[in-house]
Amino acid sequence: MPAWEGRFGPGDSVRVRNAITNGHTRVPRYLRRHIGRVERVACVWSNPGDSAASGTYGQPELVYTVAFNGGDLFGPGADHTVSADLSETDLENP
Amino acid sequence: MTDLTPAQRAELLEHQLHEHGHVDPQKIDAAIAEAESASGNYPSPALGARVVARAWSNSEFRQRLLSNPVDTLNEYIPQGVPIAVLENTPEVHHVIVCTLCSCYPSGLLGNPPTWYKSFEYRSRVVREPRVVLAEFGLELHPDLSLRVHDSTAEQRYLVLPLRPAETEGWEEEQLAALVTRNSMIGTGRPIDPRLHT
Repeated sequence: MPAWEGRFGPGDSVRVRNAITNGHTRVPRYLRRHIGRVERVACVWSNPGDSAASGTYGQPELVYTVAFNGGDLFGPGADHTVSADLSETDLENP
Repeated sequence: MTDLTPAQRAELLEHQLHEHGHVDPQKIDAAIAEAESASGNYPSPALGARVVARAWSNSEFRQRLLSNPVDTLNEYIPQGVPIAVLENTPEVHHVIVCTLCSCYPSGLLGNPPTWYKSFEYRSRVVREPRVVLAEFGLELHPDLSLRVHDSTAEQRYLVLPLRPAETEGWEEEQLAALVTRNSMIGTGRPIDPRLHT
């Protein structure tokens, strides 16, 4: 896997940044500003926003699988878990 | 133009590309036939079924598939992007979606079904998955944990469904015939052999 240490590790709480972008993003709206927990590093990949803006592959970064409680996202009726794979730059400390 | 269905627009586009010498329609037809081939030698549900049946039969292979899925699947067909295998258990059920577009384990299963790309599936399965799965005919016990995986990055997902009961001693080929495409997405179960006697 990656040859460098990430900012986050398994078990860490992270908040999804609500960055407004003019270009492409791989951050679903329904996850923005929500807090989840890192499960693992999913892969290493170029930042999709940078890649879309420049037309070439951008800086590689860690992509984390982050799990969210369905209830936090959609209200108390939701008892499931949703996970998504999010780039390091799209996450911050809560 | 706006009165045309998406299929009609695609056909018009293909026609134009052919007229201008950019694509050969026979090659497109051949590529679709390959993708939908039941031989299991190309990315298709049949190939996925072979992998699942082997994982059910061979615990060493199952461990390898779960811990090192890319290299293990490369033995069948080279994978262009990372892929993770999600093992269903009696306690946890997994289902996959791509809410942003239509990311799908195409390197193994071929083209996604049309409903997988629909706004209805993509928007609803993250919000009310138990209702959506019930509409697919999959009623989950309320105690079963449900996990929805939104494929938001390059990594793709494959669900490894639970092996059906009363299949002890079955050959891999017999088992593969029970594996449905939807069971590898998480919107269905494999065929129950007790209903097929």
